[in-house]
Amino acid sequence: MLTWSMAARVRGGNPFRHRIGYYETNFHLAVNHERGVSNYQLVRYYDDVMAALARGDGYDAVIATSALSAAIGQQYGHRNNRYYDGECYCNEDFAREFHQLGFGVLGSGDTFYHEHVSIKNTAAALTGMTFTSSQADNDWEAENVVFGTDGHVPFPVPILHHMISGANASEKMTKLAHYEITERESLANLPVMIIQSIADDSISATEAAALRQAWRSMAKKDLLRFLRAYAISSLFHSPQRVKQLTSLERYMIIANRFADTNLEQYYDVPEMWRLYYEEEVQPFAPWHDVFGHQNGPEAAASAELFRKHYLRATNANFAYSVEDFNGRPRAKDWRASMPGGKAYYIGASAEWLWERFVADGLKNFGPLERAHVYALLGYGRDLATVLHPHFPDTPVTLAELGQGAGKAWLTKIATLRLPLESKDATIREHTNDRIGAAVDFIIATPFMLAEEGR
Amino acid sequence: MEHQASRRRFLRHSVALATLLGNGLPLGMRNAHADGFAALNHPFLANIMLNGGPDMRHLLMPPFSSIEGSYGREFWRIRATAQGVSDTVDALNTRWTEAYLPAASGATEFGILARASWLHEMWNAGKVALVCGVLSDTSRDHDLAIRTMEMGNRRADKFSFGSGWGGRLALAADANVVALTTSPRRFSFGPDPNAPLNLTKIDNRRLVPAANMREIALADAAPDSDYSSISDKLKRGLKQYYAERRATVRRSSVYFQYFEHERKLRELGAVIDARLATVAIPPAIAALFEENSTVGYDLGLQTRNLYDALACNDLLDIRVASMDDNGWDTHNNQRDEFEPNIESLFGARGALAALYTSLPSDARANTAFLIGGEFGRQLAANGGGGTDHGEGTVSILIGDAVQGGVYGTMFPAAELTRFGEDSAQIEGVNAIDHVFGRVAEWVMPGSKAQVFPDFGSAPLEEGLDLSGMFNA
Repeated sequence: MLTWSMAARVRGGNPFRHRIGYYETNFHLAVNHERGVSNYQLVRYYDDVMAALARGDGYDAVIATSALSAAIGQQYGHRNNRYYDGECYCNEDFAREFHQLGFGVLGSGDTFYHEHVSIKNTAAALTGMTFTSSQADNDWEAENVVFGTDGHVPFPVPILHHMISGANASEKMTKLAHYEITERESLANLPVMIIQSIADDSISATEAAALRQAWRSMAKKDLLRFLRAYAISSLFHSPQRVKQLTSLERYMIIANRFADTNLEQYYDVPEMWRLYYEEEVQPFAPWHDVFGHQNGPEAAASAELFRKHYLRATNANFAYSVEDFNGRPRAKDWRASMPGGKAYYIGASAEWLWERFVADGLKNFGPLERAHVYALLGYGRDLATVLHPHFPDTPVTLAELGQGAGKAWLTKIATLRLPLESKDATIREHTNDRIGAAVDFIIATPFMLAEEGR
Repeated sequence: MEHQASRRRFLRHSVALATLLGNGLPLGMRNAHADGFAALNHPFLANIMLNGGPDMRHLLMPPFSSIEGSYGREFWRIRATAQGVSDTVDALNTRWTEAYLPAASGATEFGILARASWLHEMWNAGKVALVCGVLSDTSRDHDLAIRTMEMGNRRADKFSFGSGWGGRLALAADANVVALTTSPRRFSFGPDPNAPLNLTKIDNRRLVPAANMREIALADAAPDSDYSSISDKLKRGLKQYYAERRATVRRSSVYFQYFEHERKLRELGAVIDARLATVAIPPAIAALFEENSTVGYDLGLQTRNLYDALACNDLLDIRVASMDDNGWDTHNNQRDEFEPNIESLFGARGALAALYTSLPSDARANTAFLIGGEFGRQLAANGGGGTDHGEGTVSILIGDAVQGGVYGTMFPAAELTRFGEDSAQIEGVNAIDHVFGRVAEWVMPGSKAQVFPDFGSAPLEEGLDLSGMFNA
């Protein structure tokens, strides 16, 4: 869990790569450490799937790699499935989910065949595995799978109207995946399932049709090529696209945007621990077990998660210098990342901060957001205290900011400079703390919790 | 008299709905309710979703029979591995007598798993209805079946999303639904009030988020703060920011929901904190959090939340609650995986026993628990000592207002001929539209057609009459 988190945040690494790895292992074919999948099995599973993607394997082969892993065998229990004398001593759990979760195939239109032939025989195909260990202390936690013939169905079996041959589970399941990726239901469902999970909470029928068309047109179903094409498509950049952030996505974005160095990540200055212990989101311990981790819509619907996030922001943790693990003071110096070319003008710095965290092209950085952020940057105070010093409990309104005095104040303060270059260390520290407070304010706005295409 | 009752109802709604609809509370009301557990004078439904498709046949087994070829012998034979015993008369008979408590309804005899001792006690008290052969979805797909069940929409497909039947019921009752889970379940999502029969539209203004009733308030500066800390400055700044910015955000915006969270938590927090300061946590519920408790933290917290929500029912104007529990997909080692869950929920020291015994008598009299999962299992155990996905399941309804008994055929004789078939499942013959629709009618008479608009075409076992499921 912590290893993955650090790998995904490390400077010079590739967060997108690990975002996809997270999708494959925590959503698509999810495994759960809390349900007995060992660390050895988790690591091996993750590495094998990432290697398959890096090799450019077809998506059918990537799914087969997942399906044949020790982690999946442990999670679903088919590591113990055996076929002897025409009798399958099996459970059907993964035999069903291989089709449903793996490829989006429910057997619609011919459910009798699906239930009585395809699933039964998939369970038979998943027999004869034994686990061996290279690193784990015992076979129960072992990370390697040997695909034996003893206890494996010794003849081809019909699945999805194909005769699936192979001497062992690996050969049969790899062949089955090869056929399944082009099944009618899979072609219709799989691309929509992928994009829905990763990037778009509100796919329209038209958009779904376009995704299916794009997926169908790929002779070799290459997930990364599909995602790259999607990322530069009008679908992804459509203003209609909405992605409500999961807790993990929100934390990862904030962590990557706040911390400039691996040392900051190592010291957990972005406080990822809160994700695990306060919001109870831990990689490889998915909320819904094999049906995946917390998703965007459920994170967005949760007032409880909102409350915790709001509490975190209003604790002003980014506004204070802290000590590192060794007790040394760790003062944030925003000069390391903030463009100095703009001479740290408050207006330009505020826009830069908003874009760094919210990244909406300043669409939602209106006069009210600007006024609050300017007040924190310029004075280290809340807006009402600055504009209404004698009655700070009276909120500053948009109407007030739209009037002459309000507009003039906004214009004037935007041109003041942050004394980040001051020779006085105390002034520099206080300025950095004000920037941290502005960050706390920005991440507490709703615009940090979801994104729209643009 | 009727006028006075209507006026009281109007006033009650004014307070509660003002909270949810954003009109703010009347001045002085925030501290006016320090009066303990509020009376519950109307029907209240607590829906508990058991994720994974619980094997209700493991909970409710037919009596074992030593007569070869009989239902009682053959069903136990095909379930021997899931029961964790060998297929011998002695072993199965011992298991039956030791692990199950006898029960009967008319001519139907069965056993209730002994670890569900509170459920058995409630059964004997005539407060448990077991509706058999309940049909939600035929796909055997967890994701789709859960959504179908919670939406109360059997026509949903893999990419259908929309309101939940609990949310529609709340609207029909002109009341609210309280979501006691970390993230509200789809069951509690409300419909568009302007198009309540359009099952694809969602409007959550009647949803009360209550994942932790005792920590529901949003962070705010202390009343005596001098605002010298940056933390308090942020609290005041953000409070004022949200209040001002909210009016500029369209309801259709993805960001609107976050402004709604802020408003609800801020407005509800003060009122609920004041009320719950006068409501002690009962010892039986507090015991759910002790180290030796058999109830997991999540279920324990939801149980405490429900108690607290009922204590505040007048403030929240709630008629429906949403809860859940995980870990019911038992493909392997069913005896070891299923039975602790059952004990946690239905045992003598389980969540429901703790809650029921803690509730005041009026709350007990008016609260019904509806418990079930998205589908049933297959008739026969699999090779892993578990059971695989099937179709028909049992909905368990518990409460003082419930007319206890078995509704529908618990052990269809026709199953006997299918015991040897591959993938043979318990058939779903009684659509949720009718079963849950009856519950909706109890909560709010006349609501069934609004909550389950497709009930007219939904199947129901011939001769089954659900009208008597609640006491008159």
